[in-house]
Amino acid sequence: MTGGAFGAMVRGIVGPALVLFFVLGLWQGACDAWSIPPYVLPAPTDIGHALWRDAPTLTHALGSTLLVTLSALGLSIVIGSVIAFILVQNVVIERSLMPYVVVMQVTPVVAVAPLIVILVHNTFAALVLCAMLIAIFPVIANTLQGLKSIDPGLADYFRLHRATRWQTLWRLRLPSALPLFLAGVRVSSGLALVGAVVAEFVAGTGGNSAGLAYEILQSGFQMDIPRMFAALFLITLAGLCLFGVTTGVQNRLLGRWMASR
Amino acid sequence: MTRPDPARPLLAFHGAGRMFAGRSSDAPRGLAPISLNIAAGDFVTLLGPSGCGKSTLLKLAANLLEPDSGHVRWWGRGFVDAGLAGHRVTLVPQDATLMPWRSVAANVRLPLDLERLPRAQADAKVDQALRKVGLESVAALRPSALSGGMRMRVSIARALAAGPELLLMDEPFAALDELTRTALDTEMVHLCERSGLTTLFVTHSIAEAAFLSTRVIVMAADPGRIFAEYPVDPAGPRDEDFRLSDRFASICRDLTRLLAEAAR
Ligand SMILES: Nc1ncnc2c1ncn2[C@@H]1O[C@H](COP(=O)(O)OP(=O)(O)OP(=O)(O)O)[C@@H](O)[C@H]1O
Ligand SMILES: [Mg+2]
Repeated sequence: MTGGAFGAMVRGIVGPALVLFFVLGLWQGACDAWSIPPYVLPAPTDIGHALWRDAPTLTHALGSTLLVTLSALGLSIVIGSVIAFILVQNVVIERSLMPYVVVMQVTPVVAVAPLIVILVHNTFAALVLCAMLIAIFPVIANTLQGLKSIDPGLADYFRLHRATRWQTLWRLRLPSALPLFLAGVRVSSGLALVGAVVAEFVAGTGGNSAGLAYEILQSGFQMDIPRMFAALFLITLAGLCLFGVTTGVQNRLLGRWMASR
Repeated sequence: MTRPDPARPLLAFHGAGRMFAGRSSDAPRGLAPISLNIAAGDFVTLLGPSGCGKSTLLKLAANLLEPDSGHVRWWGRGFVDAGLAGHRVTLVPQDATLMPWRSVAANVRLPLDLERLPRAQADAKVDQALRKVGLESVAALRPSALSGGMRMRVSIARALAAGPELLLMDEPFAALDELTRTALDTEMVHLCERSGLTTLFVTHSIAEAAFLSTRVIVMAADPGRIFAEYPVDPAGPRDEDFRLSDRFASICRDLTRLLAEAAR
């Protein structure tokens, strides 16, 4: 059993790793063979070198971007759940408010971001707000759907046994909503990172709160393409880590559910 | 089994019914007003074709549906008053409807948790209920790890743990194979004899109705109504011998005939 799980894990890592090495090798080989200049397409070694050389600035930028991302994700989870919770209270409330939630979702945040950056003076707050506007929708939509997806038979049983509103919420609604809620959080975590990077691009903030997007912009101005790729690599890495963590949390919390699937 | 006492109906339908709106061209659907008394210790079975309002009747009895005519009384009172007096009604739905995220024991404890019984007391009752249905060994498992028949028994254990006086069961064994079903029928008889339960039971099976009931109510459809009442009175105990007896066969024959007449 454990051997099988371990084997599956090894296969899950070994396969992608082989593909990675193969692609990197091909890339490096092509750059060397045709001596492509680094400002056209930097070889993996050039990118690695840039990563090493600019490690202090890049990790600082990564830290800023992650801080914005995680703040936006945290706020999305809290505020999104609360909004879903308010919406599910009654049909009139849902019908009245849902259109605005949708409006918020369909309006491209890239277009609103400059406005936010102007209106909100604190740069960090502006960045978090932009990222949150992108990330919050999956939490709202999924939690709402989850809170509604109750087994009607169980709901009848709770009613027959005169469960209070609170008991029904705690023992029936929340557990029923959990799987969809967690799926929403997982989507949101990816969107929060996208939102953070987009917001940084728009705000173009340098200095102490400079994020990875700023590093990419700067590298572009300076024609330092390897560094640009290095920053990009860090963004991807951050995204992968977020995905891994949220998936892990999901599997852990849903262990009880998964057994039933 | 305690003798039914018709003078003190535990559940009474006074011209209670519930019709559902449909297109005017359709036959009227739902349950026409009916009157029905169920006394303490009765085991009443509803037998009838699909769509004759059996589930509707049960939902009225569980106060999950409001009648649109007449009224239903529990212990001669309204549902809430009867509940406050400490009498209990519980339901075994057609499918087990367990919480997949909780263990078997926690599922059985649900009605006790809902009335905020102290944990130790509740656990004692849960153990007892699980033993009654022979599932004490799987108490820690999740429902998903059980077979359909075992899940159904968990649902029955949950109902028993609530300590009901009136037990409502909607085709509880419909999805089970014949063998499991017969075994559970026999268990039901023992349980009811031991606990002095009053039961309102829905089934499609004539043999099951004949084996379990003190009274069978044969229903007809369009609109749903009571077609006939048939008292079942075996000479001896309800056991495997009863199932094989001529008396049982003649009860089944009578019920088959009534059902055919009801369908005409
Ligand atoms: N919520 C509802 N809305 C509209 N019509 C309904 C509703 N519930 C039941 N009916 C109708 O009432 C009639 C009786 O339904 P009911 O579920 O009580 O039948 P039943 O005897 O339990 O049938 P079965 O044996 O198939 O379970 C049916 O014609 C059904 O279409
Ligand atoms: Mg039914």
